[in-house]
Amino acid sequence: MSDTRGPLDGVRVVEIAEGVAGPQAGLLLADLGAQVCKLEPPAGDRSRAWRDGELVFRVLNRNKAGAVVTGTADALALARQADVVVIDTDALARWPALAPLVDEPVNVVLRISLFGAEGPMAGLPVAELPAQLLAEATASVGDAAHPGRAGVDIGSTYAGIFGAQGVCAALLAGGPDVVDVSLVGALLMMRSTLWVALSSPDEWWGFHLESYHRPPFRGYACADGRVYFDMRHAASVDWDAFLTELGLTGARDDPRQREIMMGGAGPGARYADAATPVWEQAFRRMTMAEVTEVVTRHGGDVFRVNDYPQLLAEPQVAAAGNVAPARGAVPAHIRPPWEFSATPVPDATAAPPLGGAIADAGWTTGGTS
Amino acid sequence: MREPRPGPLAGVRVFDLTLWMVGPWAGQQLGALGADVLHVERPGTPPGRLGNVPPDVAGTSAGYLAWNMNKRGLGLNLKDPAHVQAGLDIAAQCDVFLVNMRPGVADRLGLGYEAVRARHPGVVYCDINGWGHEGPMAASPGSDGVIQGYCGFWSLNGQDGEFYRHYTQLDASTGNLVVLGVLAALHHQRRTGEGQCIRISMLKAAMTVQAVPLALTLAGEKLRPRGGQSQLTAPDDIYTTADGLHLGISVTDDAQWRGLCRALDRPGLQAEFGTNAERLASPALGEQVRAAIAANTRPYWLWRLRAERVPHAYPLTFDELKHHAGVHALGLLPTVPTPSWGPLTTGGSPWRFGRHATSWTAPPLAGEHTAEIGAEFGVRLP
Repeated sequence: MSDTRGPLDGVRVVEIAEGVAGPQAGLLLADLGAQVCKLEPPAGDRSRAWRDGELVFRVLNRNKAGAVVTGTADALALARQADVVVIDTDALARWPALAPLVDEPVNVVLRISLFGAEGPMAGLPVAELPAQLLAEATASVGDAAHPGRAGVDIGSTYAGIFGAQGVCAALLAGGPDVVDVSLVGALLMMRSTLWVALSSPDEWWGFHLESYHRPPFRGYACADGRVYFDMRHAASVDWDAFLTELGLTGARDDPRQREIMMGGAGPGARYADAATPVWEQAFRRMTMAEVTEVVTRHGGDVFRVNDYPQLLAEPQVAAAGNVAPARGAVPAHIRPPWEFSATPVPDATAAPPLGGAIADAGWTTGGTS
Repeated sequence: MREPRPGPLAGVRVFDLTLWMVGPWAGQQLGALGADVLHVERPGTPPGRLGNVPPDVAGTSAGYLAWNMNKRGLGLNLKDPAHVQAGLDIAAQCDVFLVNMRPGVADRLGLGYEAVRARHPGVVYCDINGWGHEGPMAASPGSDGVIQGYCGFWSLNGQDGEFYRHYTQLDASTGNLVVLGVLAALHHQRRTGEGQCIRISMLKAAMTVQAVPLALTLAGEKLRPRGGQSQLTAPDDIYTTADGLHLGISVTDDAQWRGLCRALDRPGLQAEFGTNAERLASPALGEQVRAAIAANTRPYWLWRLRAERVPHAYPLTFDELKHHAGVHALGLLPTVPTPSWGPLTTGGSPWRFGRHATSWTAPPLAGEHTAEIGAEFGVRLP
């Protein structure tokens, strides 16, 4: 009895959350086939005003029905009919009457916060940059004088993914439950490799330990763009021939420089920071295609460093087939990442327009009304 | 007798035939949620050969240790048909099968979806790889750095586009999406009895994580790295205070904008830049806010911004996080005792359930639990 409505078909979700994190959780559940009804304040989800126009909102809230909260009693009643509620601490602060959803849960409730819904950091508004700063993520972008941010909203996005996981796990366990996910917790968890490496390393090196004193890495500059290259997967390398072919005879002939080049072939390598400018002396004279030819012939790997337009033009992306063209009110977007053999994910439907009464929202048999 | 793991997935069994990071990371999360995860390694692999991501901790790669907690160790030599048969006998009793080999390799080993499904039609089989099963790069190796560079992730970081260095991102987030797909398929399986194969690639997962900037690009917008500034909202940036310290402020809606104008004692700004689009388009506004913040100390701004409920924070260091009351209150950064490597601190659970515990336990040595698994599953291991 295969269907084409996704593995979560029949799961009813009410989403009362704004911005990225909560809506991302609701979107993933909707992508997986759940029927999601989004409740917004009368002024709308704040992401309707982001960038210029409603595109961000329409991408994060496709596949959902929607209504506006004019009275909390209606919202509470609708949320209690659902199998799942996705709510953030901003919504709980705005509408204290919704507190029974988490205090006396009757279904699976995902509660998103910046840094805990309870405890000493409770009550902080949910936003991306504070999460990146609190979780120390900004130390890995820019430099000490100019800390940067990850251009992608990783704290919010990861919290959304972990939130959807938590919902599914609680549904599998059965019974009502409250699942708490914080943006800071999501980012700290994603840094587990570093935390383990910090535990008691045998030697203080390795790209997981060097956040503070390595300069930003931007790829290897070639004549017509930047590439990533490394020799990690080479079974063996004829370094004499490789360095000679690249015209790096100094590195070939000087044993100390040779050691640095061999141990610095790739951004994660031991001497990468010292070796990168030397590799670039050769690469800058070559096109990316020429670098690729030489390096792969010597057993290494080369990948182009792309911006988004370049990525979207890659043949491999065309083969992946996960870019959905614009269709009606649904903007061009990235399709969900999974191919399910028995329960293919449904095609996207448009995000809800602002407005609509809760009385008209909710579900009828077989899906949202 | 072994204590069952606590958690919402208690009773779920996972056959974890994964290598490197993406697959092991997914299995580790299922284990934290309570599943019994059987991680396959070649029997007799010495601890120093389990993974090779530096640094080592007590002789074993930090990568292996950070990605294989919450599991039991099952030793199988996949080049020996008797071991493959034993593996199938065990996998046939598992709810989930995870594999991340290059396309076709698991089939050749006799552990592809068809072989496992023939023994257990209800299995949720998840096949993970770097670049997908089709296309010119299907057989290429995929790693986090490569995927970050190729998928545009660097292009918006910092001042000029840069590697999000020392921070696994798109490998770990692929693992996170693996777990989500598996849990959803388990939900379908519980409801209908029907199993299935899930395919996912790092490429597709990386694009999912970047869905917002990619949608903006598809709509024709040109995105550039903006240092500490948001691509979406303003003022939303990292500022320097009068005492030379960093402070992040995020105005993501009009109410927060009104709050910031009150905190800055600049009520006139509010109407001048009434909408987010106006604020985002105005470099002059950015400079005005930067100058205003530079005129007072960080403690002063923390007090004013908190009173006005404007999202803000300052950067914490690793040491501060380890001792932070908020971190401890959420059970983050647990220290896991291990018999072979001493205490290991790890990130911990991103979820807290009201009715269920989650747990973090020592990673296994290769094949550490082979005998007890064989006995429990009634499989004689050669």
